[in-house]
Amino acid sequence: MSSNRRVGYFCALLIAGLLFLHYQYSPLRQLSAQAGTLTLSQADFFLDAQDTLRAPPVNGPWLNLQLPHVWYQHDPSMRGTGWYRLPFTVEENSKLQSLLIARLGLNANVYLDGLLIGSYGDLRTNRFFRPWNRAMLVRMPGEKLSAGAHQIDIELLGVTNYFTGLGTVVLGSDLTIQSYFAGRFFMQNTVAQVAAGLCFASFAAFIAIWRRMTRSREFLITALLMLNLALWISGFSTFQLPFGMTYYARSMYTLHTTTLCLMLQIFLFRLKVPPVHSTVLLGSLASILIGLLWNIDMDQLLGQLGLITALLGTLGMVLAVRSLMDGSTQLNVPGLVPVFTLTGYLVLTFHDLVTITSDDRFDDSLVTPYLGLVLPLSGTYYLLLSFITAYQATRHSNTRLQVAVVQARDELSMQYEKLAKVEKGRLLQEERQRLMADMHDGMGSQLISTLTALKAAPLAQSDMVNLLQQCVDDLRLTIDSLEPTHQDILTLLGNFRYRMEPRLRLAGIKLNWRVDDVPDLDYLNPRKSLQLLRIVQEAFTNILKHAGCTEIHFKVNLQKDGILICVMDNGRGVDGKEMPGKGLDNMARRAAQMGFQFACGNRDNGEGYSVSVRLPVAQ
Amino acid sequence: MQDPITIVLVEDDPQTRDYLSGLIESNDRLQLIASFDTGNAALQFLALQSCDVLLVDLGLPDRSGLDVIRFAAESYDNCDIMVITVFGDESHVLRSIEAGATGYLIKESSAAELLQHIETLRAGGSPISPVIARQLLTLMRPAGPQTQPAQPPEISQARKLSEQEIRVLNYIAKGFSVNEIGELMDLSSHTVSTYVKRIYRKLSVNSKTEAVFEGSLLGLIETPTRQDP
Repeated sequence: MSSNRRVGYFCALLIAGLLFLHYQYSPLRQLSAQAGTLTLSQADFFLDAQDTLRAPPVNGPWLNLQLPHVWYQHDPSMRGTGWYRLPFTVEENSKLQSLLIARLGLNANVYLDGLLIGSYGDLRTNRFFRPWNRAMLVRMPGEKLSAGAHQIDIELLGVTNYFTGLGTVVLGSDLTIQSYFAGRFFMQNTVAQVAAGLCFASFAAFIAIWRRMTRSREFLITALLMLNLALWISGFSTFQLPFGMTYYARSMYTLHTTTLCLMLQIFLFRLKVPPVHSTVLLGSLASILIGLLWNIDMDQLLGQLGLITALLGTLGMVLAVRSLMDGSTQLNVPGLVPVFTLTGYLVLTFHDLVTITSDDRFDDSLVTPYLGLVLPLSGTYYLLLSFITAYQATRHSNTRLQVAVVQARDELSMQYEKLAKVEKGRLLQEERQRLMADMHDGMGSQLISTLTALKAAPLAQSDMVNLLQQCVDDLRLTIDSLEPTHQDILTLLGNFRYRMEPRLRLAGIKLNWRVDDVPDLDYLNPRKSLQLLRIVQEAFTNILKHAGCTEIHFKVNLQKDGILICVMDNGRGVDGKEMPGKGLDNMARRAAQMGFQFACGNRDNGEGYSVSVRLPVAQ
Repeated sequence: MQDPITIVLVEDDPQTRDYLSGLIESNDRLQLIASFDTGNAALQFLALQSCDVLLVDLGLPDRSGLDVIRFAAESYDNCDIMVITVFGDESHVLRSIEAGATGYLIKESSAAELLQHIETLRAGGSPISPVIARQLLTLMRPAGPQTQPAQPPEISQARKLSEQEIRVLNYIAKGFSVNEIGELMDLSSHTVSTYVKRIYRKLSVNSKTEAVFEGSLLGLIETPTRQDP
């Protein structure tokens, strides 16, 4: 992934820049090498273990030694007030105006020729000054040191088993010393303050992201880690302690312990150790270690720090390597950040521990704060890149979604077409079945009864014609019922009339066609049309056969409760004693099936017969 | 004595052909000059000679009866064409009218009906059923300024039905007979019948103009202009 590679380049560039600045400003030899400077690396040392002296001792068992001088390295149990005497000779044309001490630990007074010229913290109280991550700058009195012999005395408060010692002392012109001091102060203190600030900001950012966007545990742990680092790095630029030395040191080491435990936690998560187990495990381990920190003597504190670092560091490295080997830590930026953090933290802490406890390195700067610079910046950069990537992915997936929507729509319309085809097939099937049923009901049964009659006895030609005519009539009705009438019942009935008219004319019957405009009947499908036509045809057939009439009134009236179709003749009507024919039964049955009302009987005026069907306007 | 009406019969079913020939020959007013059982034979005859009335069945063995109708309608203005159908159903009749027929005859018609139909036709009238009237109302747009401005003028002109024609078709669609419509519209029944024939002609011209119009769209025909006869 290119964003990962970019984060990698960014980190590498940042580290390279930091290293460049570090080696530009930190090593003291840069200063010692400059012309016009005088480096004092020899001192006479006297230890006042009882803190009784209030001025540089005149006589005493002076011990000549090399600067830097770290107490811990020479005798871890050393404590009290140390007196350093640095005699030197100023040459005629030299210009010595300022004095720089690479490192001081802890409270100190600086005297020039017996005169107090600099003071760091009060040596008479236990209120500690902790200038351990900065150089000391002292301005000499007067324009410059006069030529001849001079002597600097440094009174130093020492604590057992802690960062007590004196770095190299360099004298030079104001310009030389002060510009070096400014550069070194920037790298040691300003960078540490910026780093602490960045860690705080990054803690806030991670917490916000964790709360609002992702509930990932790794985010929460990272946030807490950033908080720990922020507090830890703050210690590198804290000179006046907020509370007593013992509490402060233990608090700082507690932070160190929890920082390491949080890093372990990340790897335990990755190794799929259940959160409850890993929390309990690390919680108990941290509790034991922190408990020890707060219960052992101050003397043993530094040793304890080393032990904790070694123990948790080793454990962390083992877990990191294991997670790398089983693939739960992937070889990309988010995967490697914890590994990088842990390794960097351990290396830098080790570097600083060595720096603070050995003569050879005591003049150097501490480097742990740099981690606080690299981590949040690269983290922010990474988050930014992830955000951009996610944004682009969202846009991409939006486009894909749109494409998918179009595809789904197409698919849907295809399925709809298929469905429509199936529906059409179903309708065709229904229509086919209906036609079959109609054939069976009408012409089919007619043909069969004709055939049966013919088999039983020869039929007269007129009967034969009559029977076959009925067959053809029914077939016609079937065809007419399929004609497009647009649900107009008048067209349907009119077509029937058009077919019937020649026969009526032949029989000398006049047809009175009295029809109202009626609304289209939406429910009038071919099946219903056919049944209606059959009823009407039956009525006409009966009239032709039996009525002996001269006139037929055909009426279609629009009434409140429906459409009334009425066929009336002026024939002889039906005698009360006559059995109603099978035809009338059929008509009534068909009407009932279709949901029509059917009525028949002699007309009120006693002249002829009337058949009526009432159709609802809507069904 | 008037000249008999000359008739050509094109029908492949021998029984129907014999039945109709018998009906025609038994009537003095009618004269059967030729009968054919294939479309090609009829076309060869019609290429040489016309007749007053052409009776055509649609389902011929060699080609569609519509070809014969189309040919006769385009060749002879004075030839009345009747299509022979079993049921007089809408789809057969409309296609025949579009091809140029102005009447139709149901196969089982009686001698009286045959004579009546032919005489009506010769007198300028045409039969029409309510269903066909209903379809014509749907197919042909009414006249008026609002009709389809996008249509080429010759088509919209040809499509136009006059108000009177629409009224006639509406009455027919409601089942009224030609006589009743004449009474309702204060016209003679004969005039009503000629309206129908005119409407048929319009439909036939429409379908031809449409074919020409489509042809010109396809670049098949160079000069599509054609006037209503």
